[in-house]
Amino acid sequence: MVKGEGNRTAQPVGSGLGEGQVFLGTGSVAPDTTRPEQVSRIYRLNDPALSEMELEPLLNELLGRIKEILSVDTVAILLLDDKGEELVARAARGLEEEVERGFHIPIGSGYAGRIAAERAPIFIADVDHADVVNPILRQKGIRSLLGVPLIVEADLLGVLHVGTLKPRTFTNEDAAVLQLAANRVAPAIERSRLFQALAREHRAGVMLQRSLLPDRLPELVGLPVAARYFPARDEVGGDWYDVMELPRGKIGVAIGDVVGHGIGAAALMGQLRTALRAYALDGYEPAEVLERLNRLVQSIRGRGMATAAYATFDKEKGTLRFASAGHPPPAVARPGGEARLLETSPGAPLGALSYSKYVEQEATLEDGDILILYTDGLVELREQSLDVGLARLLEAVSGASSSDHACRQIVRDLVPPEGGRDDIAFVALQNAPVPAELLLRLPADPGVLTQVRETLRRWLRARGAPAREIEMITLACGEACSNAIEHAYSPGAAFFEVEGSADDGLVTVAVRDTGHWRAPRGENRGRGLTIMESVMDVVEIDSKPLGTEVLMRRRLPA
Amino acid sequence: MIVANLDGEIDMSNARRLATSIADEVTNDVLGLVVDLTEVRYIDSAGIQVIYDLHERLNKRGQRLRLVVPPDSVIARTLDLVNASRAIGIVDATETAVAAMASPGEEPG
Repeated sequence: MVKGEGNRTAQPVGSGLGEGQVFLGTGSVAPDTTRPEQVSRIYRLNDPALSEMELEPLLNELLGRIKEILSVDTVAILLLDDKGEELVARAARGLEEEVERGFHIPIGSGYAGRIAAERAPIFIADVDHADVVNPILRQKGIRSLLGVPLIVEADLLGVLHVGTLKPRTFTNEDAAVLQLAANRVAPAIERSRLFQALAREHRAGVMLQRSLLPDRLPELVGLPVAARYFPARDEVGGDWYDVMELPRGKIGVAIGDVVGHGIGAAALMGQLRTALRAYALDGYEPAEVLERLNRLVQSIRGRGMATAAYATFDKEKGTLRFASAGHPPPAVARPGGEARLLETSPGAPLGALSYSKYVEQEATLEDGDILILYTDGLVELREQSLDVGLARLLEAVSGASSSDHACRQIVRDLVPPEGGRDDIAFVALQNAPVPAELLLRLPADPGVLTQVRETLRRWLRARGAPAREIEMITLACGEACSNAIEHAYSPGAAFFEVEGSADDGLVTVAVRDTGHWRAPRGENRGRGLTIMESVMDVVEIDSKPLGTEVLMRRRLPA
Repeated sequence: MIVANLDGEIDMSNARRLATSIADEVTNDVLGLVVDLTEVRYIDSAGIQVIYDLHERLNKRGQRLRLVVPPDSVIARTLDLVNASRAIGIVDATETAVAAMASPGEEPG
């Protein structure tokens, strides 16, 4: 057994002997000269407990054992840097300064550098007379050194060397034992480095993925949105979701899943998410968006495949249009009711066919309904059919009262605490019921005006206002909101409020901001006030130091 | 002559951008501008300001502006509230606007 190990990793004997140096090849070491008690201890260097350790503690543990076995004063491990040009001191016993000072030496120079270059053991009988670059070795008073290369499958990992404070003539047996130890620890180091590299890639992938997902979801009045993303336990995948405000007051919700794992999948995900968003913002309907996306995937070099679903929601009509490229069907939860899956006729996954047609389906989201899009990591359970996963999803979201509630229930019931085998992403959007009393608090940003108008229209319709009244009251309120946004004066985030009530046909809307009312400047704002006053029966402007309230009333025609 | 077909809703969030993109199209050599608001479902004072600004700018260069607004539409009622319909030439169809603009001797818009 020992022989086999020794021969498999036998190194060529180096040439070019220097003064005071003895080159030893492990191939020249006969196993029967190795002392049995040393061998058994070296074997313990490879015990399973070591394989799970991080690199630094692993190296330190190994050094301690080697120091003891060979009865030496110093042990050091130098590992090749990522570029493969220099050896860097990574762990040492009796030579801790080497590590602390970050000692490094190019391959080929100095003692360790020559071992690396020759890929063969080097023995220095007396340090003072040899070519030793490292001042620490001299300062420490080390007299004799023996070093061997760390090699795994012909790849040089680094150098392992031991030293003594008294002159010692290391024997061929010592060299064989050290090389055997090196051959034993090298795979453990390699494993640990690979593990760390993988962990680094995983972290990088997760970071990339996170950076490619929306950093925040849009705050949509009357349409609360919530989403969650859980990276896979071992490898980052290419799941994504997106929510966007579209032209003409529609909302787009997208979800997708790039086939495969790793940074490549995450990068393709980023491209697809951006492209989908671009097509969506151009106003394309779901089937067209997916067709374009499929064409785009075709054009990407080394293209991948992805499944995706995209839905647009017209909140004024309550209608949902959606299409699917090989993606699992959307779910709809109803507060106080059963959850259901929407019927889809999914087309081919993106990138699967050079030309794919997608069928668009329509559904209605009633007041309170919650739309849930998800990736298959959520419903594809180990050793269970997809139907079981889907049934569990419906069960989890049944009775959810809000988007966030639905997400929390999914996390509680379906997401493994230690992470899934696959990425899991889901996004929920609720068509929240219109409350009898309206209260909106919004950032003072012109971009929210569309939402304010849509909410006002829905609210006024629910209060029984005729179409013409709805438009005119919305116009007057819009002017008041524009004023609030213009006047909002705050160093940080400024907000404004819209409060509405309707009592026996009398509609009251108050718009409050945190700025000072300013006398209308120019004809533009003057016209705004004119519009408010012509539309509403009453317009009262109450300007206080901390903010302005515009109160408007209008009696609806009987 | 330039015809600008607008749709959607015009408010302070997009009025300035709209003004720029229309103004960029109206070069010195065109006879005038027809802004078709038939498909527009909302316009507020910021949007109306854009129309006034265009009107003034075109007037200075001897060009004309016509708005196409369907009668009894939300836009027509909104423009009426601020008497914009009196100041700016409003017609109910693009063809009418184009024909009126093409015939010389009309009063400047």
